[in-house]
Amino acid sequence: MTAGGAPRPTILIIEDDETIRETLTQILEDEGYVAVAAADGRLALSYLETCETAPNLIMLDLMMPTMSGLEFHAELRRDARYGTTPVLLVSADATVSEKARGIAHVAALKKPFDVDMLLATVGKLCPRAT
Amino acid sequence: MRRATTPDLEEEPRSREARVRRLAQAFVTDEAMAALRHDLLSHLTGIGTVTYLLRKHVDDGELPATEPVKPPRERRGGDLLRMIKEQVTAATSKLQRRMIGAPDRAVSEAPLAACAARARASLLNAEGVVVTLTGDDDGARMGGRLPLIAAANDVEVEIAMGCLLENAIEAVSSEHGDCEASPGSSKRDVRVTLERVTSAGDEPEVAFVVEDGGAGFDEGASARAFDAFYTTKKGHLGLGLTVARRIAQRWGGSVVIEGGGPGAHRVALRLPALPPSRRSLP
Repeated sequence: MTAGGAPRPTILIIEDDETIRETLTQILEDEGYVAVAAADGRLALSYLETCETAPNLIMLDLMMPTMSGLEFHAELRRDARYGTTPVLLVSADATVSEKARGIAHVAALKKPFDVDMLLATVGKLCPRAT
Repeated sequence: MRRATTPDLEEEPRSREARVRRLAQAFVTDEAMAALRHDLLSHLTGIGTVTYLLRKHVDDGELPATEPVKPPRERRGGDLLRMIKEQVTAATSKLQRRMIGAPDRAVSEAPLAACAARARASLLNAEGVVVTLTGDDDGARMGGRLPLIAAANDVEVEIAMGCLLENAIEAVSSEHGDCEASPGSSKRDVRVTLERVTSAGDEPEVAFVVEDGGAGFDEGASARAFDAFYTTKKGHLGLGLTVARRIAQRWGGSVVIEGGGPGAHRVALRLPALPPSRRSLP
């Protein structure tokens, strides 16, 4: 809960790079979010099937082993609970913005990103209670 | 008006296979380069997030009791090659899936002689290099001996053979011709032998053995010959043996440098022989 009593927004981070995953988790926690991290799409789907609190935002790497970000996104949208959950694609793919364009509830950020810009984007997609 | 043409039975398959080879090489190269680029950008992102956290801790006037992240791992240096290898393996798997078909749909009969002939035909021989091909593949007509057929996809086998042949041809071509001929060999010879062999587990295998008249592998090169991006030739990618071994392993086989020690110049692609019960011979 925030100081005002409102629940902290939850962000699910799906990222195969351990360093990025761990540091993003810590950065978002420091910023007042609840951050949950998964190393790949399958683990994230398992989490989403059973989680008590649905995430307010999903940060999704595109190029991952086991299941690509886009494959995960397709699976995610099959579940009505997550039909409109905002997704932020975060990828080294130079065409990530084009890939996000035209997909509802999806935004994109290219790696390497500036963390301040990341936080600003996250703040727009997932405002913290004040 | 339709023009009558004489079908060229030789030309079309040659150009098709050569095209497959070129596409395969381009695909592997592109994938490897994309993997390196992806890795670099991921590392830069990691550097950015780590420095952001460290700066924040300093700005807040507090140093973390424990390091904010795990210390830079070995992969920053030594593991990079492993990561590249993994990416190359993934790239070659994609290549096989995309261009050759998934394993469960692949045709699992590879007549060695036909594959070897196509692999040889698809390569532009360097001037003066003679590639001789020997082996009693046509066993069905030779006293009932079983032909040399591998339980593998023929196009993949041809690609693997092409990698081995290309290495051997380059080893004795004029570009790299300053090597010493091995004892008993002509400097410009590449000899290919198709053989029946037995695996360490006593299973019947068929082998495509390439022997060249070059200087062979020295001890260091033998140890690293299958490492992705390892090459002793300027301007080469160093993926040939990696791809060949990957294909062989996919079908339960192997690629081995025979003789092992300094000067070894025989490389064998060994694959499980197709069980007689599965052979569809007349």
